[in-house]
Amino acid sequence: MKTKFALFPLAGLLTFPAFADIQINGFANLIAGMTLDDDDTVYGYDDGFSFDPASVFGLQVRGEVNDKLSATAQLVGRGSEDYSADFEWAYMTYALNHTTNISAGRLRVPLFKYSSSLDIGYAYHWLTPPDAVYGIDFNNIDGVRIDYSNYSGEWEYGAQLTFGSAKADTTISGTPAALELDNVVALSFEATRDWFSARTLYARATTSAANEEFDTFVGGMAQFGGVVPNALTSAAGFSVDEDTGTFFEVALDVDKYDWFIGAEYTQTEVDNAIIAENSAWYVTAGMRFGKFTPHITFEREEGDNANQLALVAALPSTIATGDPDTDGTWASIYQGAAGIAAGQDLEVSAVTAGLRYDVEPGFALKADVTWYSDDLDDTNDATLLKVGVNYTF
Amino acid sequence: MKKWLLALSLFSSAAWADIAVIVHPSNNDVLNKPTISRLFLNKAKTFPSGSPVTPLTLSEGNASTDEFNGKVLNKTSAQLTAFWAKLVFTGKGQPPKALASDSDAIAAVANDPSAIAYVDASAVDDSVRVVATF
Repeated sequence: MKTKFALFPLAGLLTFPAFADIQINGFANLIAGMTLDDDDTVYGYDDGFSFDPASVFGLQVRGEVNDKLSATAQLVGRGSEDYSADFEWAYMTYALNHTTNISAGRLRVPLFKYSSSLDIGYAYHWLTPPDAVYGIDFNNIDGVRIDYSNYSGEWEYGAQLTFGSAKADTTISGTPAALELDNVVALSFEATRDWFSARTLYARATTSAANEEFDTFVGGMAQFGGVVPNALTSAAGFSVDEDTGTFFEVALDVDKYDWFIGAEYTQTEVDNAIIAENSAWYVTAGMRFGKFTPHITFEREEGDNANQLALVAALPSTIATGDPDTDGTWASIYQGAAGIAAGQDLEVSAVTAGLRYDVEPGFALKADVTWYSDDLDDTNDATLLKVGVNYTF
Repeated sequence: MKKWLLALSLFSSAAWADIAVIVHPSNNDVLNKPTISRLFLNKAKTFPSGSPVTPLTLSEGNASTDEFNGKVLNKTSAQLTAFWAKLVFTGKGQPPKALASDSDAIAAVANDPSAIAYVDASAVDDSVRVVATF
């Protein structure tokens, strides 16, 4: 016991130089929300007040090994995952020179304008960014990111090149699936001049999504390859197995401080898979009156299932092999395929009006109301009220 | 009427004292407002001469800080907090070290050839070089 105590001051002395360059920062978004009508659900909220869907707490530790090399880890607890803390980021960064950094480990892919500060609610005016664009299954990647930034005259500009792979939970035709993205390559550019900023990103990845139920269904369809022309093609066209996915994004912003307006557009495609071509965008605008920032946003998301419907259209709805069991099985496979393909159609939009109140630097209170509408099925329409606190230190 | 105007102008000059941006006397860089802004916002990591820079600020709530943020960086304290939050949580940078007073800032700059800071112009002495006033 005595020895142990005696060692403490020594240990302190030995480790002090390393600890001197450690920075700890944190953020908290405590967001409560509920839908305003009985039985309505949207974005994980229902008509009972809940903190879970969007609340996030995080702690970041960054240590500088030397002038060039640093290590960053971010421990994040999300209400949607019962606040169990996960290392969402864990990477090392090497500063090649004053304009270029290379990071490796688990890091954020800069898919969107607000990707890098997605969990830092304090950094934007909403409580949560528009779901139509930002409601994606993954934001982090295991890999390498090269960040370049520079300026010329009044312009500041930058580029990021990200490589790696990612795993995430997703849903395929309504049931949970394991999304796997390999060989991800993402290239983005951004430019800012005074009140104007623009950015764009293009990414591609080998996309797979394993889902036992769906894979069994697709396998069943493929077994009819010998009997039904196009059954193999359609089965391959339904399965999400090492298919090429592409993602494109562009964002423009004007921020004159007294007022601002911004827009972002994304397009996602997975070739030869059940996942419909998805396009989404939002336009947002707001004004700043001292500590108050009232704002309004319109967002829209569309899934175009024309390719999937074409695969179904290429199949016969019934076959006559002479064996009633075989014919019946095919008929039900066809019905299932038609239903799944039709289900990929998506047309939703939402209007959000909100108010941000800056209490003090690092601390903001917000309230947002979202009118969500499903243009294909208005029984899904909902009105959502959210209130929350953003804190950063 | 004239007396009122005079009183008003006196008042406003008292409320908006000039800010001096200071560097080490050995630093001969010529700095304009956009360059100074970049040095304080982690966008330029060196002086135009190529030598490394260590920006220093005064603490939050200091009148000079608000004035410097508004006049030179064109940001309110809330905007600046959001700006640094974005950099901090992407591992791209940390806000400059904040010092408590003009005299602390002058002493720090006088002792560090890489330093740049801002102080109330009336506090400047010849241990530092003034590169700009706003």
